[in-house]
Amino acid sequence: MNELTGAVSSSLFYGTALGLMALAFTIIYTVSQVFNFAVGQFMILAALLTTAVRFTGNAVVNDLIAIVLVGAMGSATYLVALRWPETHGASPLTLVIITFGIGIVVEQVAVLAWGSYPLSEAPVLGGHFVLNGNYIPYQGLLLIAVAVVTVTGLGLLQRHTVVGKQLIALGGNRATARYYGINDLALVSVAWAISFAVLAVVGTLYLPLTGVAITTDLSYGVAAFAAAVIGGLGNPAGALSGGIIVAFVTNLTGVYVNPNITDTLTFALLFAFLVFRPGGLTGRAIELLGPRA
Amino acid sequence: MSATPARDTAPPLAVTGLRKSFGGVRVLHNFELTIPARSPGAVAVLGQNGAGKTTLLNLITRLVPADAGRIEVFGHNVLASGARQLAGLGVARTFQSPRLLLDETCLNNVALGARSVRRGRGSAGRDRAGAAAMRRAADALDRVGLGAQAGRVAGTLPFGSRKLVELARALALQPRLLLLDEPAAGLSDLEEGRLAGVLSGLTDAGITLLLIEHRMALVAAVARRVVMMDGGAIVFDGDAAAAIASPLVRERYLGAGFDQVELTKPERSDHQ
Amino acid sequence: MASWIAGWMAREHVRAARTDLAMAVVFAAVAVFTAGHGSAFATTTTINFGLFTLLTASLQVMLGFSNQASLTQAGIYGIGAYVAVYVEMKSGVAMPVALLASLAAGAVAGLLLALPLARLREHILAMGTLAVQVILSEAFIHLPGLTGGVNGEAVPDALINSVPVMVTICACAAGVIMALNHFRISRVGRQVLAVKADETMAASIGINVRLLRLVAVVVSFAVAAGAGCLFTETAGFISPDDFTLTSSLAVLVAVVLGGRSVTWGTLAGAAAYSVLNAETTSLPGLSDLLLGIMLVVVLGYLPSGLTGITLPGRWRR
Repeated sequence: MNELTGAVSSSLFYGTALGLMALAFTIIYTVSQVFNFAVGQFMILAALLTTAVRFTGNAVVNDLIAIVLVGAMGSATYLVALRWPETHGASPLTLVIITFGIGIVVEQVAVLAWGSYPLSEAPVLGGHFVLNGNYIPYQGLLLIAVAVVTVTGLGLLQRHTVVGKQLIALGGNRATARYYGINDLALVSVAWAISFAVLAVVGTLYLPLTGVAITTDLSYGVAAFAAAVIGGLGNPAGALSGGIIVAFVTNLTGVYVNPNITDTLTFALLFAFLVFRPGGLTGRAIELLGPRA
Repeated sequence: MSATPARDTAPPLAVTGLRKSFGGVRVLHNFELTIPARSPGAVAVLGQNGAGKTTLLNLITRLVPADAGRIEVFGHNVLASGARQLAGLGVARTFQSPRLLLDETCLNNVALGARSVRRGRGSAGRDRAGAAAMRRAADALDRVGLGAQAGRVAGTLPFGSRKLVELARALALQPRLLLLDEPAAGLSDLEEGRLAGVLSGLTDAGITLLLIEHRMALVAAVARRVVMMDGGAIVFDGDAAAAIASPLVRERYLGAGFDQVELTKPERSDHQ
Repeated sequence: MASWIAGWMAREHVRAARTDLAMAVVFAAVAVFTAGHGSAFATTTTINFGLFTLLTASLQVMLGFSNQASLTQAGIYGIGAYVAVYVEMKSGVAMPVALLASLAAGAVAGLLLALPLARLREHILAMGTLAVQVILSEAFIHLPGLTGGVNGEAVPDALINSVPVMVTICACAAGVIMALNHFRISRVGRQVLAVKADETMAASIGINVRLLRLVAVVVSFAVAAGAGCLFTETAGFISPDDFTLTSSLAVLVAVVLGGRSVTWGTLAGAAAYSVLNAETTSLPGLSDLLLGIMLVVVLGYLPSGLTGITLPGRWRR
């Protein structure tokens, strides 16, 4: 029972974090048809900004500054590295590979700046309570609360504001949207900023629970992608549910079966969904399949 | 390899109950069309844009899945196969907008078709080796009048000539049923006359022709049977003269002011 | 007419033969210069260049010919390497046998993967191969019985910085590029390129699209795995770090950088990347940083590369 409680609570927190990363992923995909595999690196960058670069003495303010900065970096990344290729005929695959490049660059710059040893960060909301012999950090509950607020907020934005509706229209057909007078440059930049801000939220709230270090592989991005695909690409609810599902399946497998295969399991699930059900659990099909014969 | 009696008498095309919708738009509605075996002359398909003519070809050649119905080509149920098997059955088609490899020469483009011939047609039928395939390709180009352009890069040719190259590629497949989508579009009058000769030669040789066409002079010259599509089904089925005179066809397609075309037989080309 | 066609085809083969000769000269010159130079650094650099050329050629088969982007070439390279080491350790066989085993392993991997990936296209296909690569990376780490785990495997009887091995690798690289050249003008090669240009048109003229895509994957993986075997001959030691997603991305950059020409493009892309990489291996982070920058700059702003190719996918305005 103790073990189960611990596994469930850590799955819940990891799932929320993964779900938010998948949400960030989905926002960009909905608007630009791009899979942004640099999510992991920017998430970690946000954490590093509060850990290694303390702008003020107040942890909450530091976090907010990091969120704003990383959000701005999101727009900048789009404008510098992706805008020109996108408007000059680059295919979605090309854009995806570019985001891999961006992630690698960010990672190496961070290593050059701060080294690759883990940095400790005091959580915003310290302390914990004990349940069945497990330490449940309050910061984890804060993360979940923030996630709920974020998702609700974005949903409202999408449904009830002009900007939100325009963002959805952009996802349909960029050229057509432009004919309707939608300023796609501004809007897509905003979407990237929002997406990266969400990543920064995860970085500042979740990573302190697990330790902050710039990783030397790209698997955070792949895990977020897996969660987004499994839940259903282009669907915010799908992103979150995908995150929770992946987290629970892999964590519980790690605890009760074999801790070495958790990542493999994530990627195997991704592969299986891409092959058999690319629309994910919520079923919206991706229309990039070849003919049957 | 001798054909079985059943295949000899099987109709080249038998479409029954065919239905197709795109999203909420119903394009074909219980469409029926049969071309009986050994019927002479081509079958022309008329109709306004959006009547479903190209969709019909796409369904027959399996580029698009059908919602319901049955399509049989020489007795084979086509809906159980993929696009590739149709070439093996002896079906070839051209497209409204020619789909060629624009960086390759005309000869190489046509040779792609020649190299795919796989049915045993006489003792030489299975020969896909380079030189023989290239000869077949060159012959096909000659037949459509582009023999001299064989070495030219396809991308440098005008639209009409590209359509003829695509026709040559279809011919290189040695088809028994040839589906043509507006073969005369983009052709000059001279080229159209020559095309009429080529197509008449094909029907004389026993190849079944189904062509979508708007150029009534070509239709009159080549087609023995004319059907008109409207609202997803066939609303007229008769010969060319009757079609031009038909009030229904005039009202729904030709236009009331359509002048009677001089229905002269075109010059038959010497290269058959 | 017949003689005209014969002359036509002969001219194409003559052109191909000229390219063959040029390739042979280039690689011979490289090998001779390296041997003459004599230093271990030169030999290692040339060996790395030759191996990387083989990997680039393997991806060229899948991507340049068949329009199937792969992010798993390094993983297959690893399969070839681990199989070779396993075979040599278990039975002490000579290198050619190990090479055959690696080639077979690559081909089998291609068969196993091409089937589930058959219906995928463009970036979804690439993501499928991405999943395969990361799974392979995990397998290399977490199957110590087969792979020595995260600490890797020592290679028995490896010939490090051996000039004969360097020459062999150069010869193989030249040979594979020549094979690509002749494949391009062969009947099957033309069908593969037709499928790449217009898949539905190709199917409508009777080309077996599924089979050709499968063959491209099998050949591509066999070549990559074979290169992995050659790699083990030169490295005293192999570990999962040699076969990561990052390495696969490097191969992709090389193909895109190379451009449209399957012969000179493969050579140019592999050479350009190898040179830049060799200059930065002093600091491993710098190498990766360079790769990241190249990915952004080459794919974003130089998509036609040095001789003119682009990644598959619909053009969007």
